[in-house]
Amino acid sequence: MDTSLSSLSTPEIRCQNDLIHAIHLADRQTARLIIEEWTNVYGYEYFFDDVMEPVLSRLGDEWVCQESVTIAQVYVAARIAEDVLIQIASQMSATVKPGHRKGPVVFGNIEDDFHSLGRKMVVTFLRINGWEVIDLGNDISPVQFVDAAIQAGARVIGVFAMTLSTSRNITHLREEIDSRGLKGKIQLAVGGAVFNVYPSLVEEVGGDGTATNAMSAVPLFERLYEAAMEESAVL
Amino acid sequence: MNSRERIQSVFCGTGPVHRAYAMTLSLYGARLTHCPLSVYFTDPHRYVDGQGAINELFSPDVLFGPFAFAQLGASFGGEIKYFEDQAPVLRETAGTSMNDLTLISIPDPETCPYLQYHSLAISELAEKYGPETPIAAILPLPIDLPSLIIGMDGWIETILFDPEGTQEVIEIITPFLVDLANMLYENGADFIVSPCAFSSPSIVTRGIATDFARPVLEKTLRLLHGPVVLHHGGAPVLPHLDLLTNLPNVAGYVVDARDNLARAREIVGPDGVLFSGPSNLSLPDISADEVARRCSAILADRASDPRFILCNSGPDVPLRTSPANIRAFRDAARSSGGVCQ
Repeated sequence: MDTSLSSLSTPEIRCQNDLIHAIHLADRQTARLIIEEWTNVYGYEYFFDDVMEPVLSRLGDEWVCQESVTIAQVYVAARIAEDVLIQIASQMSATVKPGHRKGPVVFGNIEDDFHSLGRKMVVTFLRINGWEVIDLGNDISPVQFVDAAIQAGARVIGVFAMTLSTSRNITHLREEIDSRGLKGKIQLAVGGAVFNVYPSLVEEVGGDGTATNAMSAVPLFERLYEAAMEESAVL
Repeated sequence: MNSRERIQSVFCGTGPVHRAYAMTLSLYGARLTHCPLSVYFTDPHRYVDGQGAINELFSPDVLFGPFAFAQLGASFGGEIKYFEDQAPVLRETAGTSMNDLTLISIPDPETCPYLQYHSLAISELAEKYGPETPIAAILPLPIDLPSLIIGMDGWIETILFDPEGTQEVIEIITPFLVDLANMLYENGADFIVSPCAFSSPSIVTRGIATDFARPVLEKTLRLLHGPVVLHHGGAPVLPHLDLLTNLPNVAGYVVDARDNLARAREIVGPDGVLFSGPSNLSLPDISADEVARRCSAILADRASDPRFILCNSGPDVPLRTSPANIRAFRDAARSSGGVCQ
């Protein structure tokens, strides 16, 4: 921890810096102690907005700009955020931040894809940020995706693929959405390591957008959700 | 000079007349023999037929055993799924948590059909092609195998938050993997290539790689009866490469296409064999001329390095790669003119 910087900062920024340091070390126990120390003084009411969200945002920026965040660190960040939400829930009798519930959205791995870790991390970050996520799991067919979205009234489908060959199955989901006259009304978010390697693949498989990491999936879903609502309003 | 002599000269550091090349063409043999992958990855004779076709058409300097880690997961009770265009994957792992793993029975390498497939394939490859061409088996190490048994998330959760459970898991699976690896050496594998995902800078922190991965590797590798080549696992490895040096029985390192090779050589020292080359993910989509250009640039960079082998950087060469691109890869090595003294 850079103590000289911390001494010049507000308590929120000091806590953010300490938490990020703990996450860099993938040290959940220290993170818990930092949170406990802060909330003992200031409580949980503003902790998520003042500390946790900026921490997740900074980590997301780090990953995009420096490609320096490991999967272990993101995993720990997600678990720490979950820990915080559980504490907030126990204090405030709510599972998400009051007034922040968004969605629903449908999420899953495309047919023949069984790499669930990335999907689960994105789902965790969406839920932490107040999204209602219907997680269909691995190996989901285009019909299953669209049926689930219609049934739930979801405006965004998030589809995950790890490999180049399974990512190409997403084109069938694009076709299924379009063939039911839902183009634009249901937006298609695509994700997975292969899209970071081949950004042009997003357009090739018919995706409406992608995110390079679990944390930046949150603004993507917000943008796509708004786009879907605007499209429905126009139609 | 045949491939065995060529690879031996690289490992000894004497430098061959022309460069050795080692593409991972495990999957590709099925294309050449028109063998359905569900057969290719269950019948060792059909697998060896495929590798025979690889040998005939491309004359690689290393022939690989099956690259099908899903079968290891299946040997513990996971459910496997076969495809028409890629290696099998696990539809379901045998368990999801460390507790599940402690309750799973450990398969016997000598009797489990999924593992027999690997050992028979290696044995037949060694018998047919071993005198001329080195045979490499592909096997995960104890730091990675649990992810095939309880899933990536189950294993990363254990490593991050349950040090005692992590140790328990390692103690359970290490003897299994050591027995399996030594059986493969006994059956004719000249070396084993092992990815190191859970020491990779893209997966774990340096602290985890130092405190968890390296000690496990040190303990396991010491028990093996043959050499191992450590593989980057699909991402740049340089920030943690030093943690993989001076390990017992490690003869070489496959580094990522994005890694700086001069820096990699500095880190591993003069004695370790360095493998690298173009990313195989791009191989299907570029021309043979482009393959030749990329390979030649890498070989020029390593012109004075006697312990360098050109390979594809990444997992198996995709099925839809054209044979012309593989030939271009080989020809770049063959025409490189050897090592500059």
